[in-house]
Amino acid sequence: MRVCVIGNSHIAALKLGWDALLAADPAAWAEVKPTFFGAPSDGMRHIKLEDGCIVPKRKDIAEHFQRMSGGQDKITLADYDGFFLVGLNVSVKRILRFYKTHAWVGLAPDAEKTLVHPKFMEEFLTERYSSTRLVDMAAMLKSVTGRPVVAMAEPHWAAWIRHGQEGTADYGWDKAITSGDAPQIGAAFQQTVTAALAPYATLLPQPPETVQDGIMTAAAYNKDASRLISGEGGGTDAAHMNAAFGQTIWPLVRQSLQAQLS
Amino acid sequence: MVEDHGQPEAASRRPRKDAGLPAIGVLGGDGTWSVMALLRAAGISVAEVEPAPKQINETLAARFQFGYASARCGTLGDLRQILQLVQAATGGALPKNAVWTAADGSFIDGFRPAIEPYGFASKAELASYRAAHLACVLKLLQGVTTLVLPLRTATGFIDASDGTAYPALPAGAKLPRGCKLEPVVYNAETMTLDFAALHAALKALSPSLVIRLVVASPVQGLAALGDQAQLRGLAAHCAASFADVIYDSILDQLLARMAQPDADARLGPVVQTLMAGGDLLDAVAAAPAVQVMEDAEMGIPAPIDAPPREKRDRAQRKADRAKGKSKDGAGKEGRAKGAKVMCEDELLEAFS
Repeated sequence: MRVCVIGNSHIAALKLGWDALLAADPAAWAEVKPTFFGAPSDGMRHIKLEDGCIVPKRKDIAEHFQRMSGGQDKITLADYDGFFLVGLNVSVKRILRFYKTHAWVGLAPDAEKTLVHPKFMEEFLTERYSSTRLVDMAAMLKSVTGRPVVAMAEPHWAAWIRHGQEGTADYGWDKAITSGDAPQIGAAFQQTVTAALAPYATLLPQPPETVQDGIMTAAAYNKDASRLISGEGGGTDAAHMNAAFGQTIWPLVRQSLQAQLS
Repeated sequence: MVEDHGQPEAASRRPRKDAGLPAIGVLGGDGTWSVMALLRAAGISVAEVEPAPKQINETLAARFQFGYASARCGTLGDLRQILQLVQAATGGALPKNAVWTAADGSFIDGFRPAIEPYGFASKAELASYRAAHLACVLKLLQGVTTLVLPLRTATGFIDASDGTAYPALPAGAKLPRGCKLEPVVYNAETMTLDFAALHAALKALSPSLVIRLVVASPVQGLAALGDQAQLRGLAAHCAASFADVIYDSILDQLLARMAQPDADARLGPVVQTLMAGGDLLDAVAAAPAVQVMEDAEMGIPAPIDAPPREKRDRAQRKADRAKGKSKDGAGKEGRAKGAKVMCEDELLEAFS
């Protein structure tokens, strides 16, 4: 099964996890053959579709492609049986931003917020998540190839960021958890991203064993991510995950793609 | 946006009670007639206590009736319903037949059945939702210095069992057992009494509140005209009876014009002037080229000439400078094009 993995910086955890799985038991993963393509942040918007290929419009993006894929500067879509999209700017931050000013019936009362019908929350967030790189890319792949597409959102941030630190944006994790609303926010995130992707791709939920308090990732899955992925060091990167996280994802990818291809 | 343009002269001198809210509130409105939307189009800042999220698209906002009035209280438009809303917001008991049932068995708020396209799963959910809405209405009534009440009909529906007024029953919805809505035509005496009670309730909440009545309706036909004539008479009577009630039939006409698809954009400054307590001559002096006075029925003089081009150009340049535009037209917007591109989430965060 030839799998094309496309993503932003969160693809790093998947690559580290893949290497670890392969090192531990190569035979178990012999039938899965991933090729990685990506660009940091929102870099994947600088691409175009040309003769059945995804072609970078910028030199630096082409260089990222080459480095990650082992030499290919464009994605030849016909070369793959299925596609796996990673991150691409879909995260729980968007729903937390909504939660700063609005709540829906069923969450903890807060007189400072506008209370809305749960269906409004669903429709609004589904529409918002539909306007993301992840959904755009899924729609393009599905329409061009007709092959299965699975997707995962960006991982929740590491639990230790909850209390914030100097210079870190406060997305409201702590308030959501303290109020008891976090599990419902996490569920709403999964529900609305699933709905946004539904016409084109299958959303793989973040594995429950990695999730803490509904909207965070347990610290063990972020250990050393600063050193290995962002290169920042000093344990300041709460957004990216490590190989252990990546290893929890691959069984889900294989299962979903195999089910759709069989 | 203009913060305090809607103030009658006397009211504008009073300190704001809630620095977090614009001075003007509008109770009632829908997709066919929204005084709030018109005032905003005129450049007037209007309080909104149940706003949509900032990134909402127009279609979804319209479906859930966001942005039509300061609170999501539905069309309203008749004095009895407005009075009931104010009484409910100040602790009035919930009438026995106020919870209706949608076709799918879910529960809907009988006082604003068109606000949500969906019902609630339980009466408890609906009760918490309604309580939050009424808290917002109370915050509005206590926070604004001018409350605009759009009046659009002298008819309605009454629950014969207890006299409670309701909007029309939506298709497929069911009333509680034993409840029957009867059509009613309010006479002048009833409406005068209702307004007196409404005025007393509002002043008890906010003694310095100024009430501005606006009479208009998107509904066409003789019946609607008759309704509006009656409402205009009532509004004029109320304004004459209470020092803190304002009614200006010219504002009605201007807002009706603004609601037209081909509305002249220059109507906005005129509406601003009238809402700020100025008269039509002030508006003419401020916006000389406006052609709002062509309607002979309004008894208003014909438009006067525009100022010389040079003078207008100077005014435009001044306005451009105020917006931060540079001589070459690039301004802030142009400079932003060269700025570092942020990822979408960061961009949204920055503008939230």
